[in-house]
Amino acid sequence: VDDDLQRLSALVDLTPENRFHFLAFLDRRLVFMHCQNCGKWIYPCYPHCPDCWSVSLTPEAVSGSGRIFSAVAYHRFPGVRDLSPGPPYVIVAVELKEQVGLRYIAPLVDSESKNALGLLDMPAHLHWSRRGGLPTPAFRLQP
Amino acid sequence: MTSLSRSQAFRDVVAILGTAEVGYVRQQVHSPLAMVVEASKQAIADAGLDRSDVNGICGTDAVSLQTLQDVMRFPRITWADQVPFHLIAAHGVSAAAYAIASGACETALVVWVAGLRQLPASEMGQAQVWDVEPLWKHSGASYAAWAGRYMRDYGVPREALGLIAINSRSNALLSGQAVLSKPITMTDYLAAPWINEPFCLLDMEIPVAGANAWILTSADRARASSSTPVYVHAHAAGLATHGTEQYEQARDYLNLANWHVARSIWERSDIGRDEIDVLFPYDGYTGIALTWLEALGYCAPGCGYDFVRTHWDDAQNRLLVNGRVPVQPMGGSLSKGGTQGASYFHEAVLQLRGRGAVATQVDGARSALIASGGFHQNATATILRA
Repeated sequence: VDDDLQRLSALVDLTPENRFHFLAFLDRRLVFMHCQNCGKWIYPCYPHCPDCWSVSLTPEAVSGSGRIFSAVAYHRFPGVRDLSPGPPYVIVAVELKEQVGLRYIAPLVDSESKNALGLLDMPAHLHWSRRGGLPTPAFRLQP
Repeated sequence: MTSLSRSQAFRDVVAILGTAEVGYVRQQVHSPLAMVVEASKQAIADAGLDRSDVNGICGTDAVSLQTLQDVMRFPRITWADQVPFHLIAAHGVSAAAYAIASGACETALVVWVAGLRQLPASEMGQAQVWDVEPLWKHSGASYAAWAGRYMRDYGVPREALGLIAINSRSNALLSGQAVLSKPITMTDYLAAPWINEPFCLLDMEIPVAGANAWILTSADRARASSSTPVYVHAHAAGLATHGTEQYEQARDYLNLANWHVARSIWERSDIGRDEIDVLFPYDGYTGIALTWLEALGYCAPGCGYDFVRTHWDDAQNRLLVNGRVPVQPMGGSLSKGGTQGASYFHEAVLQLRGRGAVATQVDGARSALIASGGFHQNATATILRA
């Protein structure tokens, strides 16, 4: 676990607000704070609920299902050596089914379709990839 | 929802009295500091003032307020600020205008500088593994993502973005300010290599090394001056309710910051949309310019392509609103150079003084609208008048 934590720290800036979110990667769980006062899911990770300002928050896993709200296919990016498995490298923002506007950005993997506009609104589901020796979230199109 | 009443609004009490621009070249010949020093001296001279008149300064990330003061040595500074790079040139101009209006200083130097240096490796995805965030944040991807959403929701074809790119290039060539010397056609646009699909190479501003400087002063002081002032008639900045720098949490297209800022600028301005003579909708990425045209009410949401086609001047191969109002007459960020909207203020002042390039000067231009910045943290609108 200490090794994992070190690898995680190398990948992301761990803060008091986001630590629970990234630590949950190790268990292959996508976890957000859930407001116990108004019921909203909170992402990005904040110290209170931006909607009702309650600090009564509980970390809970989401289903990982949703639809692709936006997509970018990277064909070139100076400075990035590893666009594996090779360009275009597609990153999507998936609107999770738990809440309107609750969107999560991650790479799209195992997809034949790489056309950015053609991917919009397609159903997608969370999939755990491995990067830097750690499980990291990605999305796959839902058949 | 509160709105600022007209009687309270800040209008015409501050003027841009001097403007200067140096560089706008594709080779980094001079350092950012050297360009800022040169632009500052030229702007002070353009304002007909000297060193002892300046008692406010606004620096940037690249040239901090301390460095700016130490290198220029103004005898007594009573107001100083610094605008970070993720904001834009308009924020420096407005900060100085508000400082002058409040009495914090009377005459301020505002600088902006862009260089060709690369972003720090840590932010450029040299961290090969967790590259999602740096990719999305620093590559224009968030703009491409929203442009894609816009195209999908309103059924807008790529040609809409292409016309924005062509307009900027035609203006750059007409005005003699193009760092890229070739005219572009729609065929060229559609064949350009993808970068961050749905953005291709021609959707993205051209990086340059360049600096701008302005002298702002009170309207009273400006009227007594030997230079030709251009007044800050209205300014608005604002944020949408939701959204980080990555934008993915913004509610929807009609809740991007542009719409909030556009509402504020028209609430604050006595000059109406049809009276605007020169227009600068931010074209750091083509998609933003379309959004600004729609948000500012030049056309309805989703109708930017129709608007640009309807107002296209075939002979000049550029956009002329109502056959009269040029859009980015010097070539904008896309074809003159990406400097976070700094060149817009310089060109607007020249146009309102009647000193724009011969081929692109608007006859008798009295007002200019600069809508600069993107979808969230840096959206602004400024109306300048002669």
